[in-house]
Amino acid sequence: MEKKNTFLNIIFAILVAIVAVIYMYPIIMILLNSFKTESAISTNTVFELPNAKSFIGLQNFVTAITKQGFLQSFFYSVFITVTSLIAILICCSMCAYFITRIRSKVSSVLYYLFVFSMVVPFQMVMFTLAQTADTLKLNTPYNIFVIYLGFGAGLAVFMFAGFMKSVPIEVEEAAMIDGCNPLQTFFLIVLPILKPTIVSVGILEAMWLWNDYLLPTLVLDIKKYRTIPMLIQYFRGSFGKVEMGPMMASIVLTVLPIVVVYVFAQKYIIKGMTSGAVKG
Amino acid sequence: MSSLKIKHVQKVYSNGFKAISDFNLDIDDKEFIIFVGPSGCGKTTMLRMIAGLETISAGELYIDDKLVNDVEPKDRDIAMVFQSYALYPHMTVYDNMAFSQKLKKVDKDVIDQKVKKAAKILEIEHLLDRKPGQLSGGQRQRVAMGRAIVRNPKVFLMDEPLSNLDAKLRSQMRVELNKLHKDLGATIIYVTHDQVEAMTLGTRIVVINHGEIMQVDTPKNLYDHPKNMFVATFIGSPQMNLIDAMVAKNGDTCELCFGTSRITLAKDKSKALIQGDYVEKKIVLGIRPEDFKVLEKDDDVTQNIVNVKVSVYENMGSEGYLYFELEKQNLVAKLAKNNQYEIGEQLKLKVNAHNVHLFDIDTKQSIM
Repeated sequence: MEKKNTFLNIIFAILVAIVAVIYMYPIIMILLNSFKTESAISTNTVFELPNAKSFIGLQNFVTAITKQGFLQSFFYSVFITVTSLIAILICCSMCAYFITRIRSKVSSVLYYLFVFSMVVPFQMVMFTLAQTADTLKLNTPYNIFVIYLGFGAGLAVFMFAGFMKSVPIEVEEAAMIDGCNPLQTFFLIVLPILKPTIVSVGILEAMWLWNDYLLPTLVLDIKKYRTIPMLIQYFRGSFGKVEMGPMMASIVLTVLPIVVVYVFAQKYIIKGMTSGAVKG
Repeated sequence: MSSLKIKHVQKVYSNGFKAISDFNLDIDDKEFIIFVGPSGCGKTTMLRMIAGLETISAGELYIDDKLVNDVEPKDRDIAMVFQSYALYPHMTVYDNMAFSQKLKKVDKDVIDQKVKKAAKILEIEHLLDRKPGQLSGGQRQRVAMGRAIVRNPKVFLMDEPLSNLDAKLRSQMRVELNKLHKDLGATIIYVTHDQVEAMTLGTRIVVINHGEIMQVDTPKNLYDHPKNMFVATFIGSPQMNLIDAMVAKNGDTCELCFGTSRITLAKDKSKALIQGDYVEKKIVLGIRPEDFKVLEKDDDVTQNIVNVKVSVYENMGSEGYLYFELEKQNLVAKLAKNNQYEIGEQLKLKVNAHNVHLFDIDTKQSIM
């Protein structure tokens, strides 16, 4: 029996390794090619490791940062991600708190509306959304977080509500007796208990916000404001000429922050996912 | 510390379910009151209404002669120890205990003094830097108690605080709770379904069933003089034996007949039956298990004897429980002497007629 298990484990490990390689391969390709000359990328040496002839150090990164206004785009991306994330985490956790603690028809209808919003494809609403954003003047990086709050709320409320159910109500009652008002109960007691879920919701939402291309392209004035995913497109010049080196470098720069955050917060993500939405 | 008055309090939920009906109780300063009853009888609901965690549907609740029906829990000057302890998991033991004082913006030195004093009483000084997750059940229970003590409230409310502990720890904590009550001189309202806790801790016990008070009395009176069949069977382990019996008059005294057995009652009990017009009527006879005694072969007692056949005998070490069938009812006797009895063995048991309890068969109330 034990032998059979070991054998199965080996097969499973090999399969997982293959899947990991398939997932990692494009990222590794981008990383390697970001250090290569333009000609080395655009010929059949694209799959080779950088050598003395093709290696150009950080030159692609310098071009990426200086040429297309990378720093400004980086600022917009960071600003949009941070403001939207704060809005999503605060508003959705409070909303989930209301939904789980106030048991009424209104709250359950609200909950199902949030969950339903997750299954509505973005493409279905994007044109009306662009129009509405223009009308309400939500088309700058400084207030686009309102739109992101709407689109991020489904997942966030679903996960927060799932975890909130496992927080014993007695803890909140104890806080009430100790002298907390409802806001203090939420911010001093409930929110700290929700920390693992906040981190996991935060990471999931941050990855989406940071990498989102379609929404800012539709809503923002492209000539004035470009987020990083939009900027990458602009290494594709006119007449089909593509500056592959700086493009690879800017992709690496884009991916880097989110990977770093993910690595540090990994344990919270797994903890939050398993103790939250899964448990119900 | 302070007193409590509960006047005609009711709790009716929005779906029409009546959890508490017409609850009346006066609790004096420094009393250790126990709410006891089976699961779902409304004892926790009543405690939560006192705490302010449930609204009161009707009636009045006074703490220290101040009507508190619409007062917020934090302003009632009470402290509650929950069944699950309800400690704040992200705070250390110290912060858990200091939290209420921090909210009140009490001076830091004063808080420190209070927390350390409470920790000393409960012997948890070495745990102050730990988080609840790193504590055992007994330690958590102490921290929950400490959190209540730091507040120095008018009334302590405790909702089955020992029910999550193992038997050994529970008996140890019972002793400590008793000591704590004496040391603090506190008014305590304590909810439990465990009658051992109720009997050992309470200065008075409130027996509740279906949202109604069945009896309020001292543990001894509750055991010796139950007002009705519910209290009689709820208090005492093994529970009181109940047998349907016919009342027969024999001169000044009454006899209770069931099957071939006859119990001659004492004069006071006989008088009560005659005055209550129970002669030639059926009543319910209650016999505590310890009021049976096995007759030896050379005993020549003839009165108040029942002939029984042993169903099961449980040897508990210091005592034994003898289960037998009498008039198609399963009864139990608690025997102090540690003998061994075989299944099917025929025995003669003497009933202590002075201690029997008599109940009306219809109203289920005590006749005495």
